[in-house]
Amino acid sequence: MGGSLPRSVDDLPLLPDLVAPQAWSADLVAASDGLFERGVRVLRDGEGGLLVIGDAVMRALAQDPAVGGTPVEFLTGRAGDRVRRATGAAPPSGAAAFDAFLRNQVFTMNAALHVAVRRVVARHLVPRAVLGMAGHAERVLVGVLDEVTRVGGVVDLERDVAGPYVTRFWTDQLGVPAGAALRVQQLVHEMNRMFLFAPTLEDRARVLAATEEYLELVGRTVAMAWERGDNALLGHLARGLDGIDLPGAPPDLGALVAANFFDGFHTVAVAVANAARCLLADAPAAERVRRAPSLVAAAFTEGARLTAPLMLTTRMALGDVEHAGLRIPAGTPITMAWIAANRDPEAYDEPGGYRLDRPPRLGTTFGGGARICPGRGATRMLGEVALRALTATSVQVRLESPQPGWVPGSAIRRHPAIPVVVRRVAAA
Amino acid sequence: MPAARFVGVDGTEVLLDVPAGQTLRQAALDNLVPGIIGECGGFATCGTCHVVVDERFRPLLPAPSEDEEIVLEGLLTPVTATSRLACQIAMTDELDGITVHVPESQG
Repeated sequence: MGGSLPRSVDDLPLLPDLVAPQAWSADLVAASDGLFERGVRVLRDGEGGLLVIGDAVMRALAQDPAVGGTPVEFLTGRAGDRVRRATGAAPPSGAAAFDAFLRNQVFTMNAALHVAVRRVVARHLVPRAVLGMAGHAERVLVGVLDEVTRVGGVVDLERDVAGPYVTRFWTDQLGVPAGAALRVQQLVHEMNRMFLFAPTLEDRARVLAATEEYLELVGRTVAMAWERGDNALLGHLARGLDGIDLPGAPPDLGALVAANFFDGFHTVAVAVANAARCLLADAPAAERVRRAPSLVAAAFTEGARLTAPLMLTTRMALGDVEHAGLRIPAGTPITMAWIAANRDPEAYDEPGGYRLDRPPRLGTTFGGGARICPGRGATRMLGEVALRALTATSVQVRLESPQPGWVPGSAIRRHPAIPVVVRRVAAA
Repeated sequence: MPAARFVGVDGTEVLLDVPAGQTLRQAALDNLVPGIIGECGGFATCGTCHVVVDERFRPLLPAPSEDEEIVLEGLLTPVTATSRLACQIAMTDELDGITVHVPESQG
């Protein structure tokens, strides 16, 4: 179907007709692989929207200016619908903080506001700026590895290594006190329940409570750090925000940072852990990277391709859209399964294989188009620093579980746990 | 049809006919010119279609936008006075024969 699409979305195949809902929820990557075998690249999602899994069509739609950010009202409405479907009960009230959290995220903005806020965030995450942060990342990771090797025993690669590493890196960068970093990590872990396909009432309540505390904690500590006047990044962000005179802009620096660096705290930690596990599970590849550390960039890109943490997001047709003859009416939600496109056999040879020698083609791990993740450079840097450290000759990391499986029923691709033993190795 | 010449760091040249209105990024990707990635899709947000334009053609190009300048200033690869993002160069008849040099790496 990659090259031939019907004219009407009504003539697209329906996901529930091809994949049992339980199978999709359990492992959408495996389900997408099956859809590729049937030649499917675009489907109706069964919820009134489209589901895109093919690489070429996804890139084209992501690059179409008429396919924009999803309004907050749609996201919160769908979240409530999912609670109702899963529980038969009305979703809990008290979602004002969650609504504000979404509203201040650049990915829900459109038109001039999106351009302006994105520019404020992205200009401080360009490669040159990110390179200047790499030394700090290395120091933070050394500290985390010192802690886990001092304690010894089995630790969880995501919870005990990648999580503290990424959270401390960003809290340091943003002037959040070290004492608050652990709480931030705990809160974003709770908020991770927002990605569940079938949340319970308790899940929803915990997301709302954690979001409220997260916004207050990060917002307050960032504001305090900015008032001290010794944080260049916050100064730049504050000046940029001051320059935006548009309705709907984040009301203050704390709101801007808390909403837009959430993925930096959480999703990046999952990305680092997933990519590290991919590499460590492939002993020959890990040995190649150990001998040639310049391969860490390819190793991270490949790991992130196969295990992209944010598997899908939904965009919205802001106007009528036409692609390869397919007419998508304005107002149609378009869910992009980014991780699926990373495995499209029309785009990748041996798509499920972990290969360090792939041609330099970046996948859709970080989205695409004008809305591509503004933090992708920082994410790559953090991932590459981690892979370099975890494959260094002075460190030995042993995976304790060969097949840790995936957390089902979530838009986040993560393992329930990645048990490892980390040891320092004395120089020969 | 106007033509564009892409020159790699090893001196390899690729000469392409580029329809007026098409960007050099798209022409490069359509013809698998090595070294052009174009991750973001043509929005001057990623800096992975950086090229160095031959000095003779610099006056014929529109000035870079604020977004393009931000991206160019943030690149790790060496940037020159004639560095541009290929996604922001739309072919015109006036640009016929434009030569751009593709850097060793992008980003």
